[in-house]
Amino acid sequence: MTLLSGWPLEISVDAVLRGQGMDPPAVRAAKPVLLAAAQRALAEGLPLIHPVALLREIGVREHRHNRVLLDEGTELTGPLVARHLAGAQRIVPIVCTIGPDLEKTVSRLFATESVHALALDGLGNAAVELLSQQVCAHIGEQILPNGLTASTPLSPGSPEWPVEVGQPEIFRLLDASRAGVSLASSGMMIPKKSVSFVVGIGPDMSQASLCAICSLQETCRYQHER
Amino acid sequence: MEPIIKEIYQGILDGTHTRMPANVQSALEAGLTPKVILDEGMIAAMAEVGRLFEAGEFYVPEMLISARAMQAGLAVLKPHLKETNVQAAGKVAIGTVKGDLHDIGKNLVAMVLEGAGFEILDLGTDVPAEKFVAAADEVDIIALSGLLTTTIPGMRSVIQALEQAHKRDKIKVIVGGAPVTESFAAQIGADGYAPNASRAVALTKALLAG
Repeated sequence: MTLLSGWPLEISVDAVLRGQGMDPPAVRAAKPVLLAAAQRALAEGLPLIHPVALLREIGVREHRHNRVLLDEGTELTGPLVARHLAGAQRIVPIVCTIGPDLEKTVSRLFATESVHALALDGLGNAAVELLSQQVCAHIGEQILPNGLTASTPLSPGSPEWPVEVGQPEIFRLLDASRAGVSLASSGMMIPKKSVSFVVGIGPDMSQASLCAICSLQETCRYQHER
Repeated sequence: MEPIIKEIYQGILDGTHTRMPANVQSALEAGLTPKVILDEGMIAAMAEVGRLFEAGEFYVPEMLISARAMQAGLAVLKPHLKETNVQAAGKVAIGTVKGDLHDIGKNLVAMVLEGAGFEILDLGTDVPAEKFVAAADEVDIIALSGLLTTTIPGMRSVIQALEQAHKRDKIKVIVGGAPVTESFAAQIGADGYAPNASRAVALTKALLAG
């Protein structure tokens, strides 16, 4: 199991705006107060972000139509993982977090400085998103010399992989307490600004987007950014 | 529209909360009734804020900035509203359902409802059904928030607990949160669903009017 910390997250003001569901060009054109709030959040919030990623590689024993059986007798189940991890020789479960400090500050400030708190929350969204992208890129760099590819990252809560199924499966494969992350009975991760996902590694892994099968595709504010 | 009412209205739209107490005081000293100041200056402005949000011209923080300006004005106006027997628009108990610790969405809705003139009883996060049932005696509406597919079934539990306590007929229940849909709200027997804070205000007003 590998614990990676000290990620140099270079977060832009635009990412903080997008983390709040905003359109950066529109904000820059006409909303100086919101732009200033994002800039302040970036300046004050970065010291509260402590990015950590926990991951390990596990061999795949067998692929079945609705599950992936792993070397240790564990498994990932459901049509989503079976389809997108098809052909994987190994899988990598990952838990990323930026730690609890930022979200504690957001909760504390919400009653008195709600706009600042929201901007800090947007910073947290941007940070955890960037962290997960960097971890995926890191895995890609590690396997590239061996002629291998990584699959689309799959997160519990994606279509056809419900939180209540996927989260326990990932947390069985990782001692997430090493990253300071715990799992509530609801499947919610604590700290809240955490993400869990799995990628498959093999010679020709699928990079297909999950957006096409997502029930939120009509309204998702992130879809068109990918 | 009286110039000072226009100024209050515009101040809420612009979110200039520091001038709001003085403007409301000026309106009172000019002989305008608390109800006129509230309805024509403040609530009308928040309605416009809601419209701008729905039209995609305002973002959530701008609603909060306007709500903060409204609250600054209300602080001055409230004693005068009481004196003239003007009631709050209604009282809403709001909380995130059991097992769910998410608070941002719930807080947003609470602030915008408060800005629209509703009295808020914030029950917090991870709220058990019994706590909502207990609050039902004090409020007109219960607003349930949830951000996880695993926790929103708790909304049904709250409604069932209200039924078992024979309180369901006396109270309206509204629901919201990312995984919540109109059809889910209908399935669990909620009175309404709001996809965002602005719609929550419109829904709350409609339910209390109706």
